[in-house]
Amino acid sequence: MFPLQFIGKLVKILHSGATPGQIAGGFILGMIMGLTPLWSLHNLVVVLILIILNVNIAMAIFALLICSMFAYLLDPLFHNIGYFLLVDLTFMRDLYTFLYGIPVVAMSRFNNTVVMGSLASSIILLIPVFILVKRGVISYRTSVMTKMEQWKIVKAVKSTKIYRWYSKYAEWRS
Amino acid sequence: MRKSGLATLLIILAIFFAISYILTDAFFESLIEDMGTDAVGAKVEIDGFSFSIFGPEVHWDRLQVTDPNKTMQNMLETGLCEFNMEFWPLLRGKFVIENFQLSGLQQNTQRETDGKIDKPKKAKDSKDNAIDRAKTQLKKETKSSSGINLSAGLGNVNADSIIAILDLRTPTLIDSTKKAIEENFEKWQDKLAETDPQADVNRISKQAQSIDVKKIKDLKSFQSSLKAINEVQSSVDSLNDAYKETRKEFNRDYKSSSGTLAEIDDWIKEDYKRALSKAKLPDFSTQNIAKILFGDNIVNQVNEYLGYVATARTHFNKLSSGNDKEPSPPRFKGQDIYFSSANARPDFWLQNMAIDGKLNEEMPLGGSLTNVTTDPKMIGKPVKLNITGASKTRNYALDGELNYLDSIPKESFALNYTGIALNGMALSKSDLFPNSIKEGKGNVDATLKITGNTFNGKIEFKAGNIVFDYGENQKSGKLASIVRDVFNNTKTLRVSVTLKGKASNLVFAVKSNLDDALSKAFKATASKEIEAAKQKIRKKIDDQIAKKKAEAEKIIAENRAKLEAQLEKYQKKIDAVKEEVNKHKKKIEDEKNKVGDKIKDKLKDLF
Repeated sequence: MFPLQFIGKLVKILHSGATPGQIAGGFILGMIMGLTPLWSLHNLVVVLILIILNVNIAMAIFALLICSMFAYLLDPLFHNIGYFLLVDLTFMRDLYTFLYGIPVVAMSRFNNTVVMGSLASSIILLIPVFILVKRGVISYRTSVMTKMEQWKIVKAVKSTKIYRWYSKYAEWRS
Repeated sequence: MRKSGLATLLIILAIFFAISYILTDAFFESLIEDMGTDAVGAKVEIDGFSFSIFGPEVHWDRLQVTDPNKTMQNMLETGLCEFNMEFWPLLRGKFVIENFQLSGLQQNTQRETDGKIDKPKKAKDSKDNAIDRAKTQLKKETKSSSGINLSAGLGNVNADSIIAILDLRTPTLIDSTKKAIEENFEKWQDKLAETDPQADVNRISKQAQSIDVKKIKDLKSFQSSLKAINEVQSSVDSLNDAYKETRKEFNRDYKSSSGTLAEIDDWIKEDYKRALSKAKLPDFSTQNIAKILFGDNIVNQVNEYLGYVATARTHFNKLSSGNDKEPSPPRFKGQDIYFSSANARPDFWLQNMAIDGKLNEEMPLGGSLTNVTTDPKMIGKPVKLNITGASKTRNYALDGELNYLDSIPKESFALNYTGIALNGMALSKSDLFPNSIKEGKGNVDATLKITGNTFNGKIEFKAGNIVFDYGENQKSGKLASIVRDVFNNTKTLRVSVTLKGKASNLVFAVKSNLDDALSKAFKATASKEIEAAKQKIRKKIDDQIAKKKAEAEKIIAENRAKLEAQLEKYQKKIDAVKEEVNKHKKKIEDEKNKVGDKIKDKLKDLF
């Protein structure tokens, strides 16, 4: 049921009135929160941006859940990246020392290898993922969505009572 | 831009700040009260607490810290206090207090309600127990001096009853020694009977006589006779050696018996000591008098200050232990990399506290406490305390430094307090000495340095216009009269206290000008009577033991004489046979000369 719910949500988001840019924006913000440790100062900034900017919040939550699952597996990699950035890049040490002295920046726990590694990875992935998701949504809507609706199986599923009940339930929940 | 989202965010923030504004004061007040109560073991109450995020600033109107030993009394009470903190460190859970204004500080004020709490006080943290060891050692010092019975009557010592209850050990030990001496004598008698050289002497004599000198006619017969006499002589020598060995053994054995006699003197000394302790004769050594009089007061004061030091050390250990950050595991949780920062702050740092209060009813106090922190190494400064106070007649100055910058904690204090009213100051509880000081004023000059568990302190106390108070229970008698005369004639008092050494082996010496005066007076009169009482006991012990000791000595001497006489006999027998053999040998040698002359004559005739 759990994966089905996810797919259902994703389909619903894709079928909603949100623009591809809003969906992609929501995804990348959710991705940052999902890949980095949740209780970090920068995530508060991300939440504020999420509230202020007109991006798709549902997609952000979806991305948060999906990316959190990957993040657990990727933590060792993030640690290595963070360690490289914080320790091995010696020319950056003065900058880190300066930032460490700024109370608000120090509160972000940027000196933690996993926080630094995951945040750096998220920032690097930001633009490619945004472009990728946006294109994906566009292509889904222009080709796949139209074609899929023509599929016999989709038509068959849509014609079942379960789907109708689910549609009503989803409509009621929303 | 999502306008509705922005509006929602602003509303949430507004609600959050409104609730915080209403509840923060109550929350912090309750939190501080609970923490304080837990730490002290009695109620800690704050009135009029307020916290403002702007500053951030904290203030309260009154703080009461209940004395856990007297719960209707406050150990400390403050009036209006306020301080501000650094904002940014606060967001990271670090409390950096810049200026703390503490006013209306008072000690031992009365409470309106009982400050007792139902919860049992937490077990004392014994991380650093050097201070506790020192406190116990000091308590022991005063106990040992106050244990002396000063009210014992002089000249009334009943030596008979003391000896009766004492159960002297020496007579029993002498009896068992006598038994051992008798057994030893019997052993030697048996041994000497076995080693009688008579049979050997007879045999050797016979052997010597069997060598006929007249038969020596030529060189060959001379050589065989000489060989035979040499063999006899070596038998005499071995007999003599065996005798000498027995003699040596005998001397050794009887030397140890004499040693046992010397031990009797030690046993008598031991019995004498026990008798003196039973008699409880006063011992007026100089140190004892000063300790008896002032020991309790000084130790209580010193222990109070040591208690503060122990608290500081315990809390320092407790707080700073949180700073020993170990690197987190590298996987999953990551690892914190630390960078040096000029703005780095410890978890707690009270930069400066201005103190204003009263030491007692009429003496206002002021001062400062600086750099109280959980991480002294980070700030690189020791805790410093400076309190001064002055009134019309008094002056008070206390300087303290708590240095926890190295691995070995160091504390140092210097106190100067002049014009102390001594009226009612309690002294010894003994009915021989005054119970308190009725009138007088004094000055204290004290220094104390503690490095790890090594103490080095000195207290100089000087007082003038002293009038002592004996209370109602005045002891009568000669001793009491001497003491009273000395105290009545003493108008100035000088007490010097030395505290030195390691916590477990602390030297605590108290000297005062009263010591010399009292010692002189006692020596002049009381010491003669004490000496007479001692002699009385000594005589009783000697009377009981001397007879038995003499008996033991006599037995040893008699036995030895008997055995030596026997050994002497043996010696004579051996000497006699030795003489006989030597004579015989000489005869043989003479005969050899004669034979030689005859041969020479024959050769002359031949040529």
